[in-house]
Amino acid sequence: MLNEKDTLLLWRYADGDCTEAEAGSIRDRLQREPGPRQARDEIQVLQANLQAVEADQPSLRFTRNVLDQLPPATQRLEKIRLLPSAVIWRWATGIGLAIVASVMMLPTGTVNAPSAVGGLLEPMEGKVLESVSLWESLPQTWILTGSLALILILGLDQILKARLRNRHA
Amino acid sequence: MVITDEHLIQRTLAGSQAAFGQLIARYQDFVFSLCMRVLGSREEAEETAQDAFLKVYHNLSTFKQESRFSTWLYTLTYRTALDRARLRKRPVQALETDEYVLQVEDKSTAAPDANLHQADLQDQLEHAINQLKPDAASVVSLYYLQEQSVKEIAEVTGLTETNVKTKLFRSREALRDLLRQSLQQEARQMI
Repeated sequence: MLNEKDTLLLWRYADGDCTEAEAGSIRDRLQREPGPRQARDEIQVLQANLQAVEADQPSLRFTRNVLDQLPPATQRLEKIRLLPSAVIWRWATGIGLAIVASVMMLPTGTVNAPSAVGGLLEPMEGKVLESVSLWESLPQTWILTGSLALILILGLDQILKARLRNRHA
Repeated sequence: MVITDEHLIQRTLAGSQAAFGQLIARYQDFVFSLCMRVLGSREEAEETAQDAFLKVYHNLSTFKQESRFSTWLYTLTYRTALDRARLRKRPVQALETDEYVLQVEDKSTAAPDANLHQADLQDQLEHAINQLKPDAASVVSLYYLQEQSVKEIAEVTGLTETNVKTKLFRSREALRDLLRQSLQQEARQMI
């Protein structure tokens, strides 16, 4: 019969948790003595059975039950924005059109109309030139400012959403 | 492609319920088993396991990835289960190495052709594990089922590594004695 110290060493040997010297000593004893061999065999069988123990399983609805208990606000945060999408898109569309119009009116503001339809467009030329002069009178910085404002609004939207999410987490 | 725990955690923190559902599915059996070792009752273990996952969700942003996610999860689970056990002061039967309280069938009165098959042995082993004290059963379960190292088990249970090794040793010796008795019983029946 092995004492507790020897048995503990055998377990450490089975776990691969002993020094080379200890392992060598164990191997010698296993060759010479039947007591340690029997204990080693029992430990091996027990280890195999312990490693084969299966986890208990909860009910089939377990995952659903947990998810159903999550805070409702968090479920909505995936989709909501703090600013309505329509507002953001109107800003973006307006600024985009303003930029395109500015580019088209450069540098002199004259509209080149095909000669075949020149007669039809001539009455409009005055109105176009008026519009162009209106565009040219607008400070270019307004458009730049509008773009920056849009970027700031989008950024603020993301920051506030993240803070709201963290508060609910 | 294996989706890592870290990836699911990042997606959960970004607001994805589906990612958290995947984390639950990945670990629910192990969490539930750990709760069973401490509480011994399926109903209580399931409620406690759900509470543990909710705590994980609410505290996920505090997980610093200094240890494995599983270790952090089992730590929360173990503490939640212990709190529950303290509330109801569960009486436990102890399986000590020098005093046996074994809830096993008396094979000497069994039918002559009754054999102890591997499945019976496995059942008896699982039953014996459940008869250990909650902390000892948890240590055995964490070591073999949840595959935690001694150091991780110490972190989960709040014990020192020396304590963990001692509990592991004594529990395994108790189980080995049970196994020896069962095998001897089987040998007698075969003669």
